Amino acid sequence: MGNQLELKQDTVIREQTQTRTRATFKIRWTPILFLLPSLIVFFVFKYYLIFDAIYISLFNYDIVNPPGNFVGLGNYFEFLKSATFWVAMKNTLIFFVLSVLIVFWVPIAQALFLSQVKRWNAFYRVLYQIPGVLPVVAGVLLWKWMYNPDRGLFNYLLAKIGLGPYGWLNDLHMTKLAIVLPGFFTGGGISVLLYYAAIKSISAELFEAAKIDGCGPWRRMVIIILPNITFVILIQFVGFMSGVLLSFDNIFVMTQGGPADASLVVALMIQRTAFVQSRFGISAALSFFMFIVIAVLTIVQFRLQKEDD
Amino acid sequence: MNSRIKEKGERKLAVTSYIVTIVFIVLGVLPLVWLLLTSLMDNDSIDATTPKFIPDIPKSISITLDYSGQPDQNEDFYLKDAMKATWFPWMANIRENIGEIKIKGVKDGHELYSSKTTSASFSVGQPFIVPTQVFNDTVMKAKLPRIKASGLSDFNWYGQGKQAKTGDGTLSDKPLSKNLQTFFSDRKLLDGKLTSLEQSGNWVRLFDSYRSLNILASEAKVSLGFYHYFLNSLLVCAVVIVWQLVFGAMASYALSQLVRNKKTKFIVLMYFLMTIMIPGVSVLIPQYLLMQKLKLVDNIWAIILPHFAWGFVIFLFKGFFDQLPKELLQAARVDGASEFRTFVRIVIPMSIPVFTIVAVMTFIPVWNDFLWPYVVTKSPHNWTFTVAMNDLQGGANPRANWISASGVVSMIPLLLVFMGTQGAIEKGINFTGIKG
Repeated sequence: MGNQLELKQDTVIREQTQTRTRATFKIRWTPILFLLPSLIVFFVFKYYLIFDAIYISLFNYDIVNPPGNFVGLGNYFEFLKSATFWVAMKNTLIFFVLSVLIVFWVPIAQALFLSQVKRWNAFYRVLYQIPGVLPVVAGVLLWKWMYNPDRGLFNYLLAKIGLGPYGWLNDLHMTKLAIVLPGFFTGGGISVLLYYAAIKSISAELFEAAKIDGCGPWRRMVIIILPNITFVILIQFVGFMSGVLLSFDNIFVMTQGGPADASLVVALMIQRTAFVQSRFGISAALSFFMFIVIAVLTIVQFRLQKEDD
Repeated sequence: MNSRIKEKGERKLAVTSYIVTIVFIVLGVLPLVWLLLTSLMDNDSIDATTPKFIPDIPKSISITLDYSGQPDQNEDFYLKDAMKATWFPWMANIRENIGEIKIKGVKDGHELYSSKTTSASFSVGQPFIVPTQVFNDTVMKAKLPRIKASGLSDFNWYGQGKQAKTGDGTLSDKPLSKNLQTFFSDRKLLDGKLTSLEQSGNWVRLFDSYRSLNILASEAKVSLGFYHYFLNSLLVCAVVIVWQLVFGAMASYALSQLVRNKKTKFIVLMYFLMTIMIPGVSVLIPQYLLMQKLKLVDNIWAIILPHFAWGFVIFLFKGFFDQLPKELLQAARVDGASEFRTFVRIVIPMSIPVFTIVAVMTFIPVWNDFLWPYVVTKSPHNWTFTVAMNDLQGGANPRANWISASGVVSMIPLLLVFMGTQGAIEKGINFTGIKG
């Protein structure tokens, strides 16, 4: 750790000397003072922590007498060999597919149709934000009752049309669907505004030209709007992927990963191995694995964004 | 309106668009309406196998007890009698939607005392005052100090001072009132004679789940009941927003306008932006161990501090500051203003939109934050409301209407934020090009 600190000080000093040589015999303190608080907190709460995670992941970490035995990459092999990890990976994949099918397209559809609404458009845009004001934890608790197999609203309403009763969160095969479904109702929130802005920025001439060519309003939506926002959709999709991979709160509050690990994902495994089983080394190795995956996705997203601009 | 010719299919698309939009909005708002309705219901209506959709008006019971012809007793004697007449029959009829029980004690034409207990108090006190269906004098004697100390029942002692309005002596024959009368006559618990029992509806008691939140955990867990947790969350948000608006803005401004060396600029910018790749869950363990070293575990600062380092904020600010007119800043410098003065007097007033965006974008995730506060806090005193709500569902006394009431309260800040800043958010999407 001390090593990194020296490195850090080194960059600050280098930066100072650079400004010193360039400015006319005057050290320009203002930029340094403006930057310093942020440089320090970013170092402590990001760089130090992620390097510490890597460091911990190399040990059979002993919290009472740190760092414990050095095991090299042992922790990584251990989680790669464990069945639970692969269950979590499989669950994540299913969550991802379900989320794309049920949630991802919703804000796109909402924005597409919203762009055709002329009257009270601004009002509808505000209304689309309303479901997003309910904090995730509160929303999950609400849905949890509605899923109650005996007394929940869903089984009651479904029984009226002759369906069910379903086990929802208690059912091994339904629990993932039950966790993803609220996202459909909540809708896009801010991403509706984003798609909407993208649609509105398409030039009117394009529409006029298509109109003259005899292209009807429905076809225009498919032929002109969709291709022009593909890039925004792509960028959102990558962000959506990391969102699904990182989802923790909703799953934890809804099922804690159950029943029988049917909704366990890697984020939950990290929390569980560390704070329930006290296996910090394994947990740190999983953390680093997660970091790599998210880092790759973020880089892809930034690249796409740059190209879009 | 205008003279253009309607195209074929245009109308159909317009109608479909309105319908789809309205359907989506209704789907989104329905769960919130359900939350609001359940927060006004009693728990048995929520738990019923056939769910109710409209809350019932809670029942208000007024009881008069007459002590005429009995020897004089001290205040505690009458308090005990009033509490027996309140808590015992309520517990025996716990499945009824009782909103309040009012007791009036009269003796020889004087009003001795009046007492009032609301369902907010009852639902909080029930687990420790009347945990079982055992109703006798000894039980009440043992519980009396608890009732007095917790202040759950209002009790006003008048002694001989107050003239009693002659009660009309009616005994209501509604089903619940009949039950209560049978309860009193079978158990023979009371010293006073039941002379009147009236039943009415009181819609004010619909909101008692919100009042329960306030007196909840008055058993010394936290000072302000559940609202304590909301204040904790607000405090965390406020501190983080202030930090971001001051230091985040300063760092981004320096990066955008003050650092002139291209290479330094790039390195420092990357230093900040690279951290966007690090997800919170990846640093969960080292962050916890760091807080342990800093002796900050179970301290509200442990929740606040990690939020200070946020690459996304630097990204938003820098995008805006890059577009500031260079000439204006140059002019200020030529006039001899210091960099700091230029920043405060010229840059900040021009940057209100970006400050709004950053405040909103900071507020939402911090207000919603669950995992880290859950991991790092132990005592309820330091919980944020998300942790408290998760605890409420698994707690010893999970009451559905408390959960929904806290859910409704938890929406208010974000609702206000969205209402107030919708315009700014939309503008922000355009100028910052937020794509994620």
